[in-house]
Parts: sequence; structure tokens; C-alpha cells
Amino acid sequence: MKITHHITDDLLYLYAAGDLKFGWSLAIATHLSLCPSCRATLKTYEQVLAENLAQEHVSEMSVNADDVLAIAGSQMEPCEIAPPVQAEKNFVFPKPLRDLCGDLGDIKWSTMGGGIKQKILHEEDGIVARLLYISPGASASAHGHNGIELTQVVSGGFFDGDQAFERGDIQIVAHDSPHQPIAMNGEACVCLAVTDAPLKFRNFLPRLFQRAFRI
Amino acid sequence: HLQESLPGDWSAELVLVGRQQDKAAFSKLFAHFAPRIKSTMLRYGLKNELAEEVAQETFVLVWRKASQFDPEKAMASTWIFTLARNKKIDLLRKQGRPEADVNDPAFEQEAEQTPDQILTTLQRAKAIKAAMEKLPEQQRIVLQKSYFADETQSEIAASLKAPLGTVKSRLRLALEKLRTILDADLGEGSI
Ligand SMILES: [Zn+2]
Ligand SMILES: [Zn+2]
Repeated sequence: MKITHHITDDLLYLYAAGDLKFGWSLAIATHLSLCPSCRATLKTYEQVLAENLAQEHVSEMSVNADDVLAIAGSQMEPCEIAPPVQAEKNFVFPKPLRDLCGDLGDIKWSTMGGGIKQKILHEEDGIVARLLYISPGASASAHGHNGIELTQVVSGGFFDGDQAFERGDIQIVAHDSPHQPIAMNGEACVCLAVTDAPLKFRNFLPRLFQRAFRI
Repeated sequence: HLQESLPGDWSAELVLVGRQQDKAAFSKLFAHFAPRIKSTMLRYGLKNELAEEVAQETFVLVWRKASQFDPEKAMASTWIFTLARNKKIDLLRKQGRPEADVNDPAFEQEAEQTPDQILTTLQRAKAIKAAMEKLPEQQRIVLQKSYFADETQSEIAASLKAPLGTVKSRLRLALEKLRTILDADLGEGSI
């Protein structure tokens, strides 16, 4: 798998710091499962954040090391021996997604028309994570954004303007200018889309849908 | 394997805790890291008791999990930082943070690296430390402060609703600069 569209450094740093809400983290963890290169960058940022600890000033603690040892008790976990990777099952979704909704075959889709189906996975403070299923060659409605949209491809692929996004690729859109993803021919495109504000549609019809489907 | 170490590297102490349940080494780690973890949590906007709880619970985990620490794979400071970060998330969020799992059959393994692409943990740590020191002060501060650190409490409350909408361009600039320095020191594409 050749990934050409990666997580931006600022998002990866905020993920390393543990500063991102669940929906964003879900898209990032799904990408990280598929992208060794971003995992290497994440490790670097964790090290930068750890290095920052050394510069931190020293707060007064009301407990000392002995108190903590008393709380911890004598329990020490044995050195973990990683179980062999069981490859007998071929999953489409990486584990962060499977933990939430099972694998692709388990999804109960809602039809939105135009060859597009969706499944809302998670909502918190206006941040919505949903799976989108776009039939081969079908196109999503042209839309702009009030906020940010992360689209992580897990199966198939889509074109947007002159760019192609396939399994593993993540599209990060944070601008207002409208765009229109079109699924590649051949197999359906399945992606995880996370947004923090309702999309802005250009046409009247999708605006009617918008209320019904909370997009 | 620990003949060489960085100043401020605590791997030797952490290994002693993991292999020999060494309480003196544990106390040294606690004295250094716990108050600093607490400070970081205070800057994240946590209340005093919660900041202290993160620091304390992190060290309960340090004691219990120390045998899993591998100095070939991580620096002690990074290992302890990730425990503290995850503890903070556990205490603040009803749902944990999704993470990639190396034992997931759908996990994409790294490609085989050539011997000269392989940097030891220590070499990388040295390069990162050096790159941080080369950053212009303003940019280093951006990386050192937590994301919300320079905002007032009410701004924090407001921005928490849509934190990404307020991603600072300063953070992006600081990271670009860091990447440029690391690329020059370690070779293109090494981070
Ligand atoms: Zn990537
Ligand atoms: Zn969009």
C-alpha cells in the first residue's frame, strides 16, 4: 500500500499530547494503523513532549514515592510477551474502527440516495464521526465547510479535483472552497469522515437531506 | 547495553525498577518526574487534585509495568510521558483514546529498513534534543506549552468545543522548523 496523503504535523502533535477529542483521534488512529511513516513521526513528537517535561518547573506533591508504592502494592505485571499476529482473518477495518462498529460486513447502512450510504459511529460536542459508502463512480454532493473535515479512506478510493485518495490516505479539508469527491470505478469507496460543523451545500436538495441525516 | 546515555536519561533507573523492583531507583524517578507531570497537568488546565492524581496514578503504573519497558525501543522519559498522557485521558474522558494496535491483523507493518536507515533510540533522542535546542525560542515555547496554555479559562471552555478550528498556525510553523532541522541532522525523511 502506497500512502500519499498523510496526517498534518499539527494534528499529529495534538494527538501525541492527548489533546484531541474522540472523533479526530479515531480518524488519526485508523490512519496510524495503516501508515508506518506517520507512526514514526508520532514517536518523534512523543519524544519532543517528553523532552518538554525536563523543562517543566517542580510542583509540590502531597504524596511521596513510598505512598505510591503502598497504593501500588506488590502487584507487578509480568513482562508482556506479544501474542503472534493472527492473520487468519482478513479485516477491512483497522482495530480502532472495529472496536466501535465491527468490520465492514457488520455495518447497517442508511441509504442517502445517489449511491451513497452512511452510518454515524460517534457524536460528541458537535464532532461527528461517520462511515460513508460511495458506490463505484458515484459522487458526493459538492459542499464547503464551516469547520474541519478529516476523511480517512479504508476501502476503494475517490478523486477530488486532480487528486486521488485510496485505502490508507487521509484528506484534511479546512477551507471554505467547495469540493466534490467522486468514487473511483470498480469497487465502492468506504471512508471514515469526521467533521466538527455542518457542511455547506450548494444545491437546494442536499440542504433538505441535511436535516434528515445530520450532515 | 546502557553504557552510553543522555544526560537526563532515566533508562537505567527504570530498568532497575523493572528487573529488580528497586525501590531506590523508583524513588529517584518519582522525585524527578512526578512534580513535573503535575506541573504539565496544571498547565493543561486541570485542577490541583486532578493534576496530582494524574502524577500519582502514573507512578502506580510505572511500578506495575516497569518490566515491560525496553530501553532499545524507547527512552524512559518518553515511556513515562505516554503513561501520564493516557492517564490524563482516562481521567478526563468517558471514552478512551483510539490507538493503533501492533497486534491487529489489519495493521500495516513497517517495510524492512536498510542497516544505515536504522537509528538507535539513543541516536534519535540525541538528534531530537539537539533539534529542540536549535529551535528559535518563540517556537520552542509553542511546543513546550500545552495547546491551550496561553488562553484564558473562558477561551479554553469555548475552544474545547471546536479545538481544531483554533489550531494555531504557530504550532504548524514550529513543527515545520523542527522537521527541517531534524531532516538536516538525520537525513531527509527520517522523521
Ligand atoms: Zn501517514
Ligand atoms: Zn468535504
